[in-house]
Amino acid sequence: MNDQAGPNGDGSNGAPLLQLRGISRSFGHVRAVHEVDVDLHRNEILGIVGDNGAGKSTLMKIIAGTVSPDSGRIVMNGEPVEIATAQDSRRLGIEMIYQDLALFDNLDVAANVFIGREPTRGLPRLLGFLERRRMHREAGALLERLNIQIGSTRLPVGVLSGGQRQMVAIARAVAFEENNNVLLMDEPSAALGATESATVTELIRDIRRDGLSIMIISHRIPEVLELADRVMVMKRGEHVATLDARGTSVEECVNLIVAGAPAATGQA
Amino acid sequence: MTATATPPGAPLDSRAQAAARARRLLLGQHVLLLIALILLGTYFTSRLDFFLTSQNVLTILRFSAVTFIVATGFTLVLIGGGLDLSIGSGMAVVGVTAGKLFQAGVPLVLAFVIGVVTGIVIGFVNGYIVTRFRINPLIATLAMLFVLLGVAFIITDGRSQQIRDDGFRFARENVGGVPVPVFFLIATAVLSVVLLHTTKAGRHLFAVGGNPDAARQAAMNVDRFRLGMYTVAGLYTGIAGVLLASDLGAVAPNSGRNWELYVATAVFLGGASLTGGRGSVIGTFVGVVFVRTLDNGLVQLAVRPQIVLITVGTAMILAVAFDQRPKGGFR
Repeated sequence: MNDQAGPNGDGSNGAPLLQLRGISRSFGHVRAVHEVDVDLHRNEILGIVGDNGAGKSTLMKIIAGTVSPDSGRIVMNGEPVEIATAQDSRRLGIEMIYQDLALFDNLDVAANVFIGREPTRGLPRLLGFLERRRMHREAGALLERLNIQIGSTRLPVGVLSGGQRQMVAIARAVAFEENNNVLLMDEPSAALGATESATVTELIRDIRRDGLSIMIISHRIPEVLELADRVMVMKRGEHVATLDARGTSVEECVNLIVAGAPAATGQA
Repeated sequence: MTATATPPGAPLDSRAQAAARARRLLLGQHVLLLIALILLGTYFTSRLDFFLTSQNVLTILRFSAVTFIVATGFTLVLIGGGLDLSIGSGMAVVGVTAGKLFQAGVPLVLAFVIGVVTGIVIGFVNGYIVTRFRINPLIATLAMLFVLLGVAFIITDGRSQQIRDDGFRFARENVGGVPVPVFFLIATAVLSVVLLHTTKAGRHLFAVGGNPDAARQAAMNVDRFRLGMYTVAGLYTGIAGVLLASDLGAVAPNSGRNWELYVATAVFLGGASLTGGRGSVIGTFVGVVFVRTLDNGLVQLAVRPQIVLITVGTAMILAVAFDQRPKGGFR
């Protein structure tokens, strides 16, 4: 709409899925996010880049409900929504994968996938008996469907490699997909080597094919330009520009990140 | 809930699964501990004629029972990422409360029930202090150790008194040759295994202790959960405290002395960790039997009590050192 680079193919039909308008948040005197507008289209991968302290993570946490904005509105499917807590965002089908992945190293893969949503029978609520076999079966099927290579759903997550851990976190986030709309990822490849990073990238493409809209924070500009449809550049809490990933070079992108103003493209 | 695309029952990689399970089974810390226990028993048997008799084994089990019950509560708290050093004093308060009420003419069962409820209240207070005021559980429950010790002395005026009543001393009875506390041990073990390893609450306890931040992100109320965990541990303290008073057949304000040492040593030997998220009922059981066997054997060898304390303390250090060894093996 009034975003710089308009919707670009990839099934985004007109109205954005998620719209942020005039979002601001300060921590003390620090303006972490200032008057930011974002459009996330259906089935789109939107990259977010910027220096440390540019406000990327704060922006994402505002959408995830773990940080509340000082001002601004959020619109989803054309309806204004209130995201005050993580539960609110989850109810709207928004899942976030944090940089630390928030996995339980002491629990096995199936337990991690189902944590907080374990199927039980017998007694109500917390006293219910875990349906272990079902969790292992469904977690195994999920990993298979996502083509994730992990020896067994009974392995404790603590013994997995960085890439495997990232993929378990992704599997968990998309496991309950009937309601999933948006996946937020903070630096999914930051701690990974080249091969693992490529595997995770492949997985992200796969889940987008399943119909999710994805926002990704990353420091690796070439990787973002390769993976994302559009790339949003932030600097000192402000939204500098949004670029069509296909027509943008790494240099242009880096210039924007450093200078905070469009040098060559003339956008903004 | 989840869409299952592939046919059910197809294991991902049964060989890796079996290997993982076998590794955990064979090299689990409590299996190593079991071997150590057998070696220890063999040593004592070679030195003491009386050691490996059914009489002495039942005595070890009888002493293990009360220890196991309170140690299981301690294990739950450790798994959930907490710590409770106040168990000994808590048991003393429970015991003297029940004993004094009984002496004052309160019916036996009611006195015991009030004792157990006292334990639950103590657990709740511990949990409340830790979660409400955000005090490190080491500090909070160390303080409670002394507070409760003071309470136990106030209730009794600092005096120990025998209670010569067979009903009150039910824990000294045998049923079919088996000491009564052993039945409590079995019941506690079964219920705790079910709670910890088969229910959603048990799973979440491991989650809350293993990674509290992630638990919060998974929409768990970590503080409320921990408050509940300390309260349940208080129930265990209550039952153990009543059994101890009954076994002693006395009101004794100092009856909880050194229990922290024995319980913590047993639980750490059994594989629970101070960092939370790890521990098991079985491991704690083997740990308790190990500590009580050590105690029993050393006492029979006429080793001085001070040396017993030093030995048990050293065992605790070794257990924690083993737990913190560089990663890459067991589990």
